[in-house]
Amino acid sequence: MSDWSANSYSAITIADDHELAAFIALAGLPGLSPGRFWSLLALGAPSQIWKRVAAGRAPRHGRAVDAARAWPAWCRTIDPGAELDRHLASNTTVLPFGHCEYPDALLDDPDPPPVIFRQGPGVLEDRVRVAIVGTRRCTRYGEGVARELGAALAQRGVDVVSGLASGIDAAAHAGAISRVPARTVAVVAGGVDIIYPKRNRGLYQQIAEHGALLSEWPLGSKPETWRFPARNRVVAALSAATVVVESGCKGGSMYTVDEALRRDRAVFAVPGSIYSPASAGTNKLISDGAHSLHDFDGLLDAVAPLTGPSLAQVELGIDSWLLEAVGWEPVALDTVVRECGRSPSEVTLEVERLIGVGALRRLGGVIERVT
Amino acid sequence: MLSSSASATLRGIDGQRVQVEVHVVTGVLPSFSVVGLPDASCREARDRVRAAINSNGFKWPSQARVTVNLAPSQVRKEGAGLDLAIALGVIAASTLDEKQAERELDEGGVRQPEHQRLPPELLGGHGFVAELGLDGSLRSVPGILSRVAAIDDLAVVVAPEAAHEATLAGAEKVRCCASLRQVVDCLKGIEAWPDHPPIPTLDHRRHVPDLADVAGHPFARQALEIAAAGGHNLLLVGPPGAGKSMLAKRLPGIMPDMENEVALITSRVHSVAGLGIPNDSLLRVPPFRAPHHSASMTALIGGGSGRLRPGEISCAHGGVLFLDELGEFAPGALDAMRQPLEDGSVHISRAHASVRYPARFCLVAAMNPCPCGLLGSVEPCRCNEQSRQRYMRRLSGPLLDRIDLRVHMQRPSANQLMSSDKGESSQSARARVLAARAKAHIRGFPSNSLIPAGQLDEFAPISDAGRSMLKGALADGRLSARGLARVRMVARTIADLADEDTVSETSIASALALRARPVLFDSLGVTHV
Repeated sequence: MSDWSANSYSAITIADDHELAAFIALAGLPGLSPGRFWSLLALGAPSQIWKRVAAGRAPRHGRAVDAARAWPAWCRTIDPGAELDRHLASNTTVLPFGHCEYPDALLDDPDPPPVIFRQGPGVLEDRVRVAIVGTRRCTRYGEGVARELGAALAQRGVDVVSGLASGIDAAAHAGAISRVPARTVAVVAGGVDIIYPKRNRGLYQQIAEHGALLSEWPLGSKPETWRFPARNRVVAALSAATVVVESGCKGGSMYTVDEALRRDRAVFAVPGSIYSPASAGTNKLISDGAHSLHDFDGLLDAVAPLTGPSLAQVELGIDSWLLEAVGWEPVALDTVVRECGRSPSEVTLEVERLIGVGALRRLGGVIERVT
Repeated sequence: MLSSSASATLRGIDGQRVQVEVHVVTGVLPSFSVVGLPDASCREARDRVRAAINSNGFKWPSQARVTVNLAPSQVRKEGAGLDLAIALGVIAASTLDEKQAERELDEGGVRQPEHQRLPPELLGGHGFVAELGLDGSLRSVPGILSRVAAIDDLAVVVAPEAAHEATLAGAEKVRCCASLRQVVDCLKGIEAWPDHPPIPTLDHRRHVPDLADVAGHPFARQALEIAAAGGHNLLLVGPPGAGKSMLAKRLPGIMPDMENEVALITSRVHSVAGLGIPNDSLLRVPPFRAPHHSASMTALIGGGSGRLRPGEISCAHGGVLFLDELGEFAPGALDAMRQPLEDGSVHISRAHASVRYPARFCLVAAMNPCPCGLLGSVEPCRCNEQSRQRYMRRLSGPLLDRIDLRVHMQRPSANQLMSSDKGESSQSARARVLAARAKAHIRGFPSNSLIPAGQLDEFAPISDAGRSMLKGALADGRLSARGLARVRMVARTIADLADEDTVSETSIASALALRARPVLFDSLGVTHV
């Protein structure tokens, strides 16, 4: 793990639990933007910074109206040790920038989060991710498209990233979960324990159980308005491509698109009715040059070449007599048994193994290689 | 004059002892009444009994009020099995004893001929279960086994064709006679009780089809063995002509003979349902029932208005219930089968009675993969989403969820059909099944599907490789939490068949593959199957 990355941010070192507790407490300071957090962290060890902030001696940053005025009073209400315990007890991992489990994709980011809090077992390394974003006030058309797209991507081995907002985000997550619960990543604008909106409780729980739930802020942080754009940038940063399903001309999704473009990621938009205000933004994106997503295969084909690691994992190092015997056409399992001269149990074992690593797909009595 | 004799009627699949009391009063306006909740065929007994009595040289009491009481009086009596007891009761009740005979003569009457007399006390030592023909001949009734078992303290007189079935309840207590006259003579000691008719012996496995007739289909054959060894239900998915029915019919051939307890219950059910029991012994070969898909729910589950009868699921107790063309069955009928599959019995309630029939069977269901039949084969499916949805709605998801083995079968190619290769015979497959069952028996569970989830670690320990395979499947969403327990049970059976103590990765892989959702449901995004 190199200390100096391409974007000149260096790894944050946390010496011990005491430092970690202070670090978590700092991350929760009200109104603390990521940029300001970085500049605070440059001042020294987290425990020292905490003392300075609590004493009201935090350096000024940017504009005159300074959230830092409220900090000393706020610090008095917080016990860093208790916060650390709360995080450990709830299985929330704290990943400062540079930690071995900090998402690789964010290490080179021009504006990386200083810390990621996560819950859930979902794997972030060597995965292809596509973001599906859109307006909360979506139509049934948009909801259906988001759901199907989420499902199609998950089934194809691509992780779905979104913000767990209502509307398009929720539909995309739900679609992915319905096929492969492990293939969904949610980045939320509050602490990972805050369920907002309440009606997404079921989704939250499933993602925390099977997928990955990420946040830049500690447990208990409220999803305040200023946090949403920050969260959107993480959604864009984590994904090889961003798909906007429905959006008005000005909306959070448009911010996500800007962040994706800034990082040179592909942007897709789903066309919609010219009479629908929910498609006004997406239609404009298409006319401004975004890829138009009018069938799913187009997206999947476009995404596949962008994904280095997943394909490589499949082609290299999978040593299997079955893959050699099976060509690129679908073949019946009965035929495999007959022609390879192996017992049904042997064939089944190899098939299940290959399905587990994503190299093979089974449809009824027939198997085919996954391209 | 009063007489009393023992007989039996049916209540569900059990017999119910009935005490038939006959009271005859002469010198009044003639009448005949039967009380004690007789059903229609019991009430018709009057005409049969009167004709039988007159045909055999007895005299129906003239100018007499005859009252027949069937005790206990609050239980419904059904069927014609009480005819014999009623006839004997009438003869005995119109028999005059010494004093009455003298009085009769004094009053200028005629002496009652000896051959028309039957002292009532002679009726006490026997039970009587038979229908009477108009010529006085004895006929068998359904449910002989259960009825005879209900009269457990007396020897029972039955029709000759029922003698074998009746001896299953205890050989020394069965007598058979051909006619009413013969019964009376034997009771009076004039004749000796006739011998039972001879029993032809048959190899009862001869008519069960052999697995050797099926060539190919390696996965389906393996699944059949697993179903037989572990008592797991089986779903065969494939296009018409793939060989699903052919394979299903061969399942009883590789299942072991039914054990005594199960054989007794199944034999009783078959007897009550009027299916009869083959020749000499209890049913040993597991029954194979294949109701047509037009069968009503009552025909499948049991019940009916008026007389309650066991349904196909009860007739399949201890054996196989084969539902061909699952999509053609009435959805209500399929749903009604979920509870019996869980409980192993079915409870039928009507306004006047309620009864519990046994119903522990192995379910084999066959279905097309989709309306065009090509889904899951190398050719692409031609159905559109709408017709697949419509087809899926006819299948009961909750019922399919209880089927742990799902196999896809392909249509055999021309080469395969014309080749003379024969598959493995039923005999060798059955030997493996028996060995696997013996292991399950030692564990203490009659079938592996009955191991409680909490004890799976104890009885079905998994190897490390197997454990990581399961974890992978769970993480990928190919397996649900409920499915996990079922997969482990099936894997335990597969391990038994392969003679493994710890469940290996191979067994887990096979169990996982067998529990995979049928493609139809996957393609429509349905996850609860």
